[in-house]
Amino acid sequence: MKIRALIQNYRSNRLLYWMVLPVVVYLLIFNYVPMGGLVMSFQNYTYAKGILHSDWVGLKNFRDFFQGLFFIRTLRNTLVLSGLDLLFNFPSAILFALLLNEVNNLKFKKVIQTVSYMPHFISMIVVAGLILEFTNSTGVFSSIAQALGGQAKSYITFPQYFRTIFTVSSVWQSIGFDSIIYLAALSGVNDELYEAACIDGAGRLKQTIHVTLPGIMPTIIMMLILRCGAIMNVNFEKVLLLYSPSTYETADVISTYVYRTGIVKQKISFSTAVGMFNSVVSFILVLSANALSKRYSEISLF
Amino acid sequence: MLRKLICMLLAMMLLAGVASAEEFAVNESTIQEKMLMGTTISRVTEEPVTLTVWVDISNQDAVGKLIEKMEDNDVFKIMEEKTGVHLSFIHPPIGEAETNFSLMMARRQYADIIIWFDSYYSTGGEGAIDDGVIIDLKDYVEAYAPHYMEVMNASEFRHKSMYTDSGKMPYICSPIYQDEADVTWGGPIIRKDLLDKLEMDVPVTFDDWHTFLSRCRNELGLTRAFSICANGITKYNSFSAAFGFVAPNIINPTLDFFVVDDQVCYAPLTEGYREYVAMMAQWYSEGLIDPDFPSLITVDDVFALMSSNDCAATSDHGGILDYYSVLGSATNPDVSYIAAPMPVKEVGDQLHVNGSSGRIISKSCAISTSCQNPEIAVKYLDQFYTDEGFALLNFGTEGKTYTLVDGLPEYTELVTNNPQGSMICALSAYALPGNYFGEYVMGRDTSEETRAMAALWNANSDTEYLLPQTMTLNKDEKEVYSEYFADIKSYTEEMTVKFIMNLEPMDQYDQFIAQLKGLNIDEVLEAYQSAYDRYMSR
Repeated sequence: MKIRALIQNYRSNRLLYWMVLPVVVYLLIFNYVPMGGLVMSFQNYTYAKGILHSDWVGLKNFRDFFQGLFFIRTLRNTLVLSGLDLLFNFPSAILFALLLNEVNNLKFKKVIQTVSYMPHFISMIVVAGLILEFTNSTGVFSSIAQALGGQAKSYITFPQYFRTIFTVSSVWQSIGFDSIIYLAALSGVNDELYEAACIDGAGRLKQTIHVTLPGIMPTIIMMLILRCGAIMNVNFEKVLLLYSPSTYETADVISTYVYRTGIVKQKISFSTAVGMFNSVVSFILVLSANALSKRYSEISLF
Repeated sequence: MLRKLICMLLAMMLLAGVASAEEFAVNESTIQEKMLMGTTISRVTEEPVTLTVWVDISNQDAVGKLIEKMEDNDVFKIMEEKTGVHLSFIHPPIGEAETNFSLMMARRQYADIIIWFDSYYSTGGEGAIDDGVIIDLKDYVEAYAPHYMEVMNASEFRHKSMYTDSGKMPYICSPIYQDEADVTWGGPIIRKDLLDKLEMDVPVTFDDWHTFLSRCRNELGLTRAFSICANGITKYNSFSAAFGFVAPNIINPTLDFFVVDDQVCYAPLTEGYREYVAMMAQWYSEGLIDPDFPSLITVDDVFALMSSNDCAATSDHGGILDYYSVLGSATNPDVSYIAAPMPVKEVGDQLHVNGSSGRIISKSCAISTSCQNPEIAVKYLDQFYTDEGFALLNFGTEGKTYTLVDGLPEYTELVTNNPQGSMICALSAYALPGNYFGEYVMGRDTSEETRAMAALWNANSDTEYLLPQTMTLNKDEKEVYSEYFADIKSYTEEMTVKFIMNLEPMDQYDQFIAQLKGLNIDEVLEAYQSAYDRYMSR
């Protein structure tokens, strides 16, 4: 019965099915097939023996990670950096979209949009180069500090500044691009609602709070759920490019640790175990965000 | 990653620039004899054969400057003509050799010949033979490589290096001609114009250095007077040698440890390391050290710093002085640099560590199990050990890169005065001395100035504390090493930098050592100790 319905559906939406095919194939090849590799986390994998013939070691790799020196620290750093990202980056894009929405001068709006999108398109390695240059002892921030009577400092080499540098630069990088989706949602809000609010005597601020925000709430919730799933995936490249042994304390996250031990030092099984732990936590986070949202706002992804 | 580039270059320079500073005149009559070409390169195959070679060439600045790719090197063109074998090179992106190697292993499609295999494979040559990644060359070499066998049986040291403890032969080695010991090619470099301005002599002891740097800071206003590497150590061990330890090295695992009175040691566990770190921490707090040192990632960063007029001293390869002078004088015509001797605690101290790798034999060529023609590969490599191959690798082609004067090769202008690059650069385009094939004649491929500097640095230092390069860990020992050492090293690097930056007070040092013990440093040391003992009784 169901199959017949599916065929029926296919007949009427043939084009849509073909359109989605490449994406499904992509996901299968790059996201599902590699999951088989997770087996390695229970093995002592060596290249020569391959996945099928490596020796089984049970949960040893997990035990090593959980009891290791760096477990607490990498987990904490991952959560803190993502948490800060969620706290500042996420609302800033919404705020930015709302502000942009209030701009009436079209030309001005366009210029602002273009300028704010720009950082998103700069390659990460260039961005990291800029950040390193700006935050060293002869950089802009040192000059400002000196002008205000402070000390020139190599900010990027101190663990206490890493989080600030990381978060602020992330906001700069993504505020424009992330606001696109909210701008699109904003254009979908019914104008009559504003008129009605206006007649009821609502000012600009009240309109924003009572009309605009509820109007784009589904988009916000959806983005939030997706964001929660990515909590464990801190921007790996950026951390890798900015950190150094002196800032490991606040900068070393799970994914960079996996990279250092797995790819560079060839402890493949160990890093697979760590990576798997990372994914499992991510999965739980998405599910709980989704459940929470379902319970309180009746909006959910699935 | 990128950060490793500095250290990798540094390590490569160690390997590339091997020569004796005082005794450059290696027995010249034997070179004369070799140049008569008693044994010549012969054809190894009638059918044309292509072999792939995987090699990291981050130290080859000739590629991209004088030649487009390694295949264009005269050596390989001539060899192809004479032997019938074409080499096709595979290079990892610069600074990503380890990653690229891992990917090649995971794909299980290996290049036919893999250069410096041992530095990358976690269980070493013996483990790789057991894993079926590379082949045991013993039978092939004994049957098809007479020239190589002859060269390697010329001394006991070489013979000892050919086989592993269990009698396997994972590599074809490239020894140094007449087993000369390596010397250091790098050491302290100092701004001469600043010394003159301050009317000071070249500093000798650490107290002198401290006075010099302090005066640079206080009287001349230099904010980054002294430049050290991102891991808190100076290159070529120059400032740490006097404290009696070999600083952990990123690329060469035999340099992670060192040996004093037959006892293998790990630097951070020694009293000397603590003293060194405390001294650097003191200098850092006085503002003598470049505050940006932990984020110095690329070689360019270091060049930029040295030419910024804000830096008075560092430790580097002698050959780099020219670059510094050119860059520095662009903004300040007075800039000039000279070499300073390795600093000591008391005048007259002899140091047992420097930037050299001691008596070395490079474990260069491994042949993988993917190779269709191991017999031809071995025969081909053997040709480099003939007299003709020797001349070709070390001196290039007669008439083009050298002429014979009294039967001895003298480089032509093309090499000594190449407009496109240094002598080493030119030689790696038209010849290939000191790399991964054949025997290497030391000291002939550097300029007079560099040799003079090397002589100064070697005058008060030797390499007594170094572990023998060809000692081999067996499979179990290698496993212990790769299981524990990644974390140990990462933790060491982190803590060293933190102590120096005063982020961690020095009285936490005992805590640091306790933590290292918790990371099983003792087991790793034990593994090295037994490998060392085995080597000594070979």
